[in-house]
Amino acid sequence: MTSDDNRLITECREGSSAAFGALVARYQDRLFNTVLRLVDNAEDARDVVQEAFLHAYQSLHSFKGDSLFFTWLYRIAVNTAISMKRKQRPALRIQAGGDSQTGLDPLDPSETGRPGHSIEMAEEERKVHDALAKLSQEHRAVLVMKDMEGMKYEEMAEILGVPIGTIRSRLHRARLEIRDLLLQQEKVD
Amino acid sequence: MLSEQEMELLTGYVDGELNDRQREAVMRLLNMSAEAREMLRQLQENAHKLKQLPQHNVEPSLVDEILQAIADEQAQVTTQAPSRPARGSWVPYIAASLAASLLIAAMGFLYYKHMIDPESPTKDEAPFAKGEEKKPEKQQPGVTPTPQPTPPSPRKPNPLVDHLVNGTFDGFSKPIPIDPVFVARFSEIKDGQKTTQLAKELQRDPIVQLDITVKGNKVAMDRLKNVLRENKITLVADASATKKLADKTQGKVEYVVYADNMTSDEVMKLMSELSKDYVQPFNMKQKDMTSPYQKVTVTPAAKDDRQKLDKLLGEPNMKPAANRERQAVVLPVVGANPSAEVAQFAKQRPAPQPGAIRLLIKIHE
Repeated sequence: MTSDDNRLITECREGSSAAFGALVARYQDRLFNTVLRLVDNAEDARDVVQEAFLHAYQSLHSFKGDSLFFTWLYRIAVNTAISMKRKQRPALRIQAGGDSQTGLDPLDPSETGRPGHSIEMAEEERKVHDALAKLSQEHRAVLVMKDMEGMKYEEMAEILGVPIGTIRSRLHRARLEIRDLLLQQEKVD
Repeated sequence: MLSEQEMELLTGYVDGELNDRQREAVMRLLNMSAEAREMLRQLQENAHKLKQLPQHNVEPSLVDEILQAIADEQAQVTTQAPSRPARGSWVPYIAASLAASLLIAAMGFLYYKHMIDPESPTKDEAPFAKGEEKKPEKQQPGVTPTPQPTPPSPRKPNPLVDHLVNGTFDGFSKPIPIDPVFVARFSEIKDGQKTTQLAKELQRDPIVQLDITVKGNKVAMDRLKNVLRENKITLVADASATKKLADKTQGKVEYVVYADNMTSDEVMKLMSELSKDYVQPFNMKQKDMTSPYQKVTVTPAAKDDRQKLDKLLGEPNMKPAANRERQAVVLPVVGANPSAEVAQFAKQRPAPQPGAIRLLIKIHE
């Protein structure tokens, strides 16, 4: 996959926008799923992913190939998401009762056989998403990178531009914090 | 009550980033403390919940939007051409000034020559149109001809200049063309929404690449093998690919499948079959399976992939392929040497049929 990325990047630099389109097609979903957990809704996630790709296209000349293209792209997207959240002023959101906060369609019921399973899954997703949303950007980012993307401390440190020790302590605090939040939710339910 | 240091050991354990000594310390702690065991259970459960969050697709795809934004931006940059010359860009201006000076000098010379010898035609008075010659004026003997003022002739359009000017302005007004990339979800192929476009894409090049995203490499490859078999094509696999597919912890691997002599109808049928849910025998029963095929990008195969294919498989066998079973092959995974299966496939490749497609399928999660 890496050699194929390199080939597409070379073609992009030679002026082929189709090659960049192929890179977008390849990574948009993976990036979207990460960003979706860093921002509050699908619309913002879509904007961030789009901005990240455009930024990547403009900076393609500066991509030296020292890291994987996806890692480089991921770094752009995560930083875009974090900076977007910082810029956003806290605002009250009007939420329709029972709707998923992510603004996404409910899961496809065909994926599971048991009636009501998809509703339970959506409810579980909402709880985890709510808990994530209460964390700081820094804590949210490390949890998503570790648990959803399976990244190593070293890779996360490179992406966020902080020492490995900082990643370790952030993850430690984030895990304890989300544990408390989910326990509180259980008590409320 | 667990100490801060013990808590750090537990979260580090969940992260999977402890060394041997630290892991042993965690084991000792878990043996001694029920509180530690409960804490670890909760931490692992939460990590699992995050990992299990459902994956969503970007709907609709961002490809077209992003390519359009890039094209718009490029068009904007072109129209806002720099008004200030860049450092070192004075050379063309000097060249242009010199050319203009020479042109003025030449015109001055011709005008001067014309004034002192009005009968000598200048180039401006030379034949104007093809096949039309300027007839010499008849002179009456003994009568000195009086020079007649020449009526201003309408400007003859210079086709070259007009073409350049029109071309330039056309270029400004038109959006910069972008190479379209065909991307479709398999659900769109199943519904028939994108079948016409897909059929067109398959006609674009004799070697077509399908870049396919799947949910589960193993299930997807098994499904492909069965669908090909139903279409009387046997899928043989390089030993490295077979080994990798059997590895449950294979991680991110891309499998490359190659087939000769496919018709576009066959490829359309293949894609349609792959898009559908299916039934699979499982423990003496039938199991309903959701199609693992998610998304496909269709492009002409890249130049270096074509070269790699030629290097790996060599020239096809030019003898007629009478009664020979049709085959597709899973190529070696990155870094592996081709096995006997690939050599056998290469040896048996049939002669290329006119109008047939060479198909390169890249499958990845």
